[in-house]
This record gives sequence, C-alpha cells and structure tokens, in this order.
Amino acid sequence: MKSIKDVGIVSWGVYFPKYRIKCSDIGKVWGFPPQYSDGLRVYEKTVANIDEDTITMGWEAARYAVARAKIDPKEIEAIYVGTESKPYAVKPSITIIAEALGITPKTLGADLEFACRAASEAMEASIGLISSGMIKYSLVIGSDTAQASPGDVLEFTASSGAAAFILGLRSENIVAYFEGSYSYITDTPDFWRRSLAQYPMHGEQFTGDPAYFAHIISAVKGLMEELGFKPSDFDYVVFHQPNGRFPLKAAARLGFSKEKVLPGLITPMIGNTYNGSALIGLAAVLEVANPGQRILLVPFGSGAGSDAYSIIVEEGVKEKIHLAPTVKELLEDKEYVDYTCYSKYRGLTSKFNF
Amino acid sequence: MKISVPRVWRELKSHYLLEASVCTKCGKIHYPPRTICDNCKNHKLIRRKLSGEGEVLTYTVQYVVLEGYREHAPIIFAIVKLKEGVNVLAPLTDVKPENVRVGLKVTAVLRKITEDGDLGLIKYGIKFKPMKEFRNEGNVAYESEKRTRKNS
Ligand SMILES: [Zn+2]
Repeated sequence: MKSIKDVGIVSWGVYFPKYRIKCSDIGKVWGFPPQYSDGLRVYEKTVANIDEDTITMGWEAARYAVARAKIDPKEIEAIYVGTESKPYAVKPSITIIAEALGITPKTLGADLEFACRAASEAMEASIGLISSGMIKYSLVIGSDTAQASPGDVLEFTASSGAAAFILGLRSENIVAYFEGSYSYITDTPDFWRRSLAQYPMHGEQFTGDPAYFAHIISAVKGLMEELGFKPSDFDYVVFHQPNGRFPLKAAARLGFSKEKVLPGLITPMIGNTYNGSALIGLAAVLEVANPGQRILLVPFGSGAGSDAYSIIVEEGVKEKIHLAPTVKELLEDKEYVDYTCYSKYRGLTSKFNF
Repeated sequence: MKISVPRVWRELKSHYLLEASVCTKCGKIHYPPRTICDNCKNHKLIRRKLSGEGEVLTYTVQYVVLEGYREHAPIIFAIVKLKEGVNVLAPLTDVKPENVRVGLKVTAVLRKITEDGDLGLIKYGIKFKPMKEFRNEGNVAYESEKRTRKNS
C-alpha cells in the first residue's frame, strides 16, 4: 500500500517500567530446567508497578513522543491505543490518556484490538487519514501489561511496556517516512483469550510456523515484491519479538543477516511487551540509524496478521533523540524484584476484600 | 472502598494534568484549584497546567492504610514544592521509603490511585517519581533548551 502523499514519523516515545524480574527466577519457582529461558533468548522482563497499567504506561510513552515532536499537543487530531490488556472491558482507555495529555476534546480517538498488532493497524489508518488531508497529526500508542498464567511458558516472556509515535506529513519536521506497507491477515487459532478468562490460551502447534513465521514472511515478501526491493536494500530489520529467538529465525529464512536484527531486538532484556514489542524495537533503531538508511518494520498479532513497512530515516532524527529518554537509557534504569513482589505487582496475589 | 463517580469526574483536570488556578489579580497559584483567591478574594482565576517538576519538601510513610490500598502499602505521601513555588500533596511512586529524602528531585506521572473493587471505577491521578538523571542529558522533563543550545 502506498499513500497519496508521503507520511512520516514526527517523533517517538518509549516507556517501560524500571522493575525487572530475572526469567531464571520464574523458572525456579515453577520447576523448569535451569537453562529454559536462555533457550527463548529472554533473560529479564519488565514488571509494571502496582499502580501501572496500559493507560499509565501509554500516557508516559505518549508524553515523551509529544516532547520530542516539539508541536502543540492540540494539533494532534487523532489518538489511538492498540492494546490487548485494557483496564476496562467497556470504557475506552484512549479518552483517559487523551485527557491526561491535554488533547481533548476535538480529536478522533479509539482503542484498537488485534492482539499484538493493534497499534500497527492504528499506524496504517493514521497514514491514510494524514495522507488524505483529513488530519494534521496522529498519535499512535501501543501499550500492554501482558497477562500470562502463573507457571505457563508464556510467563517467561509476557511483560509490560509502551511505545508511541506521532505521525504527520513528510513536509513536517519528521524523523523518517513510510515508503509503503503490505498487510497480510488470516484466521489462525494460535492464541486467544475468551471474554471472561483471566489468562490467554495458546494453540501450541500453531504459534511458530502457521502464525508468526507464515504471516511475517508473507507480509515481507509481499512488500518487497510491491516495492521492488530485495533483502540487501534494508539496513535494519525489526520484527515483532515474542521472544529473542523468533525474529532471528524469521530473518534467516528471509535472507537478512543477524546484524540487521540485533539493534532493534529488545525483548531479551525486557520481555515481550505485546503491542509495544516491534514498536519499541523501531524506536531503538531510530536512536542509532543514520539519515538515508532503510528500516523494515514488521509487527505481528496473533489470530493472526502482520504488516510490513519500509521506512526511510530522515535528517531530523538526530536532534530529537535526547529530548526524551532513549531505549538504551530506559534499559539501564532498572531494579530487580523477586517472584513474590512480582506476583503482587501483577495481581497474581491480592488481598481479599470482604 | 467506594469511589465517588461525580467527584472523580469533577477533579479530572486537576488530578490528570496538575491543573491549578491562578489569580488574575495577585498571581497566587492555587492547587488544588480554588474559585476564589484566598489571598486577595478575587473571583477571576484562570486555569493553568503546572510543570510537574519539583522537590520533596517533607514526607511521611503510611503503613496503616485505608481499605482498598493494602497492595499499595507502604504509601509515601509527600509535600512537593513545584518549580512554580506551589506545594502539592501527593503520593510518591517507584521509590522505596529508605531512598526518599527531603530535597529529592521528583517529576509528576499519571498512575493508578485505587480501584473500586473488581466492578467499580478505576481512579487515576498524579503521583511523583524520582527524576532520573540520564547520562546523556538533563532530566526526565527533557527540556529541550539545553540540547538546542548545545546544537546551535
Ligand atoms: Zn489573588
């Protein structure tokens, strides 16, 4: 897909909690083999504080994006949050975030739903809205406090974090622009959570090949065919990162070297932040990339779907990096908690209220 | 714990945005916002968003907490002196009691205050967390001036 007018990224913002749990501590509690989490290539994951959720983390990432954008927040005419961990089943998260950013009431706004790919769908929609001239800026947030049943293998990776991007026309003061995108969705039973269930289920045999790899690879191949690119045309590759292994495997299958993936592979240090996952990776790449370089961004959501984007870095990127905390700085600002503290913070144990 | 829905709605702006009321006559800043200036009795006050940056003036650690707050205990309540000179009473977060001190630089963040059981409203509001001095650049408020100055 290609927009009529080029749309770009005006700014980015990332937030993830400072608390971390070592995945080996989770394995010890549940009797997994000592090296189990190393096999997933995930060593630590973020733990949201007791007072944090999708809304508060999304707000903080958005606040940093606004700081980097150097625009009047009132000019943001659409604001979306992609999440699968909404604090309310019914009552939008986005109105709370928008209100707390001071950009209500004249704005489009919605919570989007598509497992880990919801924020990417918001990105596609925003590109269309901006390109058509309907709105000036859009704020796209991916935020999740991912749930995993205690003792489930998912518990090694499901973590918390958020990323936010402000999009606008390429003629604005942008840091990168979209050359094109390609979306690919099918009905695939790899992962689900019924409406009243506390934790998700996963169709084990579907997770890898039929879901993650099939959709990501198809989206990337589709994009390269439409734009006439080959793997060597891209300098960085950022896939959705449910663990530290899958993105490297997908890259190998598509013919991308490991070196193009590693700068944007953040999951080994923070876990899988779901809607934040690929987008935090993109932010990390923007913080090291040079103008003129081409980034392949490929979010994925279970159920399942994937979008591949080709993004060109622009001159404006360097001056915006230090207007808000960088991914590297957030990675270094950490404090470990034990499993007991983690289980209280994540609501696995709570006081019974009479 | 029952959360008053009308009250949460009424206090949204001051609790989400740290919005104060400023006297148009004597300039006194009121937080929480007031409709009449307690200094000069002026009725004309305008709303203004505060910076959210300041330092701990004093604090107390609450171990005996209200119903609904046990998971949040211990709660550190601080009086934060903002850059604008206004004092704000609010909880601190992301910090242990042993690491709090008078003069600690803090910044305002949106956090969950409490929930009305499993079915009721979730109340959000401002808390303060320690301002992180990142290696490359000033503080979490990320005022762009310094950077811009350096680049120019
Ligand atoms: Zn007055």
